[in-house]
Amino acid sequence: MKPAPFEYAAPRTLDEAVGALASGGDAKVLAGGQSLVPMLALRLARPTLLVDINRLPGLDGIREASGMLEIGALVRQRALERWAASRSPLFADVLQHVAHPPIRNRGTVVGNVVHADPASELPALLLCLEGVVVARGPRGERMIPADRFYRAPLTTALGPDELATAVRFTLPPAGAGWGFAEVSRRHGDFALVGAVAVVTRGGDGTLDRVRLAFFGAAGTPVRGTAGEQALAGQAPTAARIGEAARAAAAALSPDGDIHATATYRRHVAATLAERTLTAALGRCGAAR
Amino acid sequence: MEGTAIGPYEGATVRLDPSGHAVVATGACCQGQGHETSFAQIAADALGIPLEWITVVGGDTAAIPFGVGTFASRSAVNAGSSIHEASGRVKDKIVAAAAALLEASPGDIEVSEGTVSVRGAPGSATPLATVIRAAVPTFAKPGVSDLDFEATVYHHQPTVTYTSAVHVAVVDVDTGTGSVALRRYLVAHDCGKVINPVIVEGQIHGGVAQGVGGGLLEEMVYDEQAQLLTGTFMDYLVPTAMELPDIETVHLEYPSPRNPLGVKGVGEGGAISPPAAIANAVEDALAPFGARVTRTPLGPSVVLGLLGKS
Repeated sequence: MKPAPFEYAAPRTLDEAVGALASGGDAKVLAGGQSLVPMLALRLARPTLLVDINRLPGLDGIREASGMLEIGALVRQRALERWAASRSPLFADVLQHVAHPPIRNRGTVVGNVVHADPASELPALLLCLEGVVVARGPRGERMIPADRFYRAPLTTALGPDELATAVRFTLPPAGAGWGFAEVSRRHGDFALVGAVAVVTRGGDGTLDRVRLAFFGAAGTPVRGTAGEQALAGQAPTAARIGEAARAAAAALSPDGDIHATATYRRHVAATLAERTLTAALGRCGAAR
Repeated sequence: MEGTAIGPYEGATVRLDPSGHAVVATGACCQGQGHETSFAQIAADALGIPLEWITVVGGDTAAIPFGVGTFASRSAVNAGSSIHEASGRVKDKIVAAAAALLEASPGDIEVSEGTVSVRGAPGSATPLATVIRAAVPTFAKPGVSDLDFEATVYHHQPTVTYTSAVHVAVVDVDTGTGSVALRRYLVAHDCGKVINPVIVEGQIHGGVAQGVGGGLLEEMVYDEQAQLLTGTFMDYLVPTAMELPDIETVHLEYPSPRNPLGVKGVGEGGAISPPAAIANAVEDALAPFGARVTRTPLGPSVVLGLLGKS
């Protein structure tokens, strides 16, 4: 199939881009096009205007400052993967599960985050690392915290006239451990279900801070709050981690589809939460 | 065990041009399995000319009017035998012309790599093109033989040839997630005489990949209103290189007595066994749980179901 007819704009400044989005009609932002273009081809999306942001200046930077990692809207997933190769095993592991290298060469980090596929890895990482989306609209710039960003499958708090210019991840503190796991039918497919965890331990060995997020387990990425609370301040034992993982998974309301039943997703969410928390604990004190 | 290469026939026309190069035409069209190479090898061996002198034409009714087609692992046996026999007849014509030109007994004529010679007389070596030119009539005299270096043979194959193979799958089953990963995949098979080992390996690799799809991934799913739910390759999952281990092969060559080449069909064998091999491997891995595998594809949700967890 071919896309339905649409207008195309290629603004040169941020103001022009926001103006185009605010001009009325059903506009969509085109960056890497790795999700949008297939949806156009399948006519699952039928925007009247595409705003191509690839010519906008100043959106291609990866900046690390005071514990935050800011990624501009034109940073390709592959660029972040290259950055992560020497800086962050967590980001490196997550990104290797995002589709395949040819797709990561074009697909953007911000595009993936705002596309809001519930089974996608980066939105769950953003949630786990308590990141924010930087949105620019006609009324200026605002920060949208990840836990208020995702509303439903492919639906976010971003207004139709707003452009996500960057995302900011809070980098795990020194000594934090991390774990990441997913089940997909094939390498590079969207996950049936997945989990990512980051934990820190206090001086007395108890768990100080626990962050757990799931993807593919609900209509949006979700924090495993029940599991986080069950472990915070506790001495980590295998039994406690297992209980916390099951508590976190019990709070999920996944959907079933042709690739996995809802029961499967909830069951495996618990398995993966236990594995990622255990891995994170084992990596405490190692490189992040 | 597979009955391969169903008949009833396939044909070939083999024709030399004045330079001694050959066109091999057959009704069995190539679908990507290397007919141009394998058929040229058969013709080159039977004609005694270099491989690169041969052009293979498939499925052109202007070149050969009758044919059946490529399916049922049949082309090497049916078309290959026709090409072998037709090439042999053209070679007989080369030998007849060369015997007349070189004034030797046909039984002493050798044709090799496009050069014709009398056995035991290296000085007699003559390019094939020269022999063919000698058959061309001139105003002074007729040719040394009929100016006819062409033959058509339709090989009759009353039934099938029997190919056999054993497939071994070694799998890891994650009992926490139901994921199945192929660790090793081995194929020991007998397709009779192997014409081209690389092409035979390729046939097996491609077939196994398709079979792995049936074992682990590929499924046509419909909803209650009979709407197809796997209508794109986002949902109908075919295996990629990432899902396949290196496929290890063992070739056992027991020539078929049913055709002059001794070949048996190989095209489909790779795809037949993987679902059963994988299902048995998964069942074996899950023996402690008493799991019984009765269907494929074995997606993770299905496997956890076998464990009573999903």
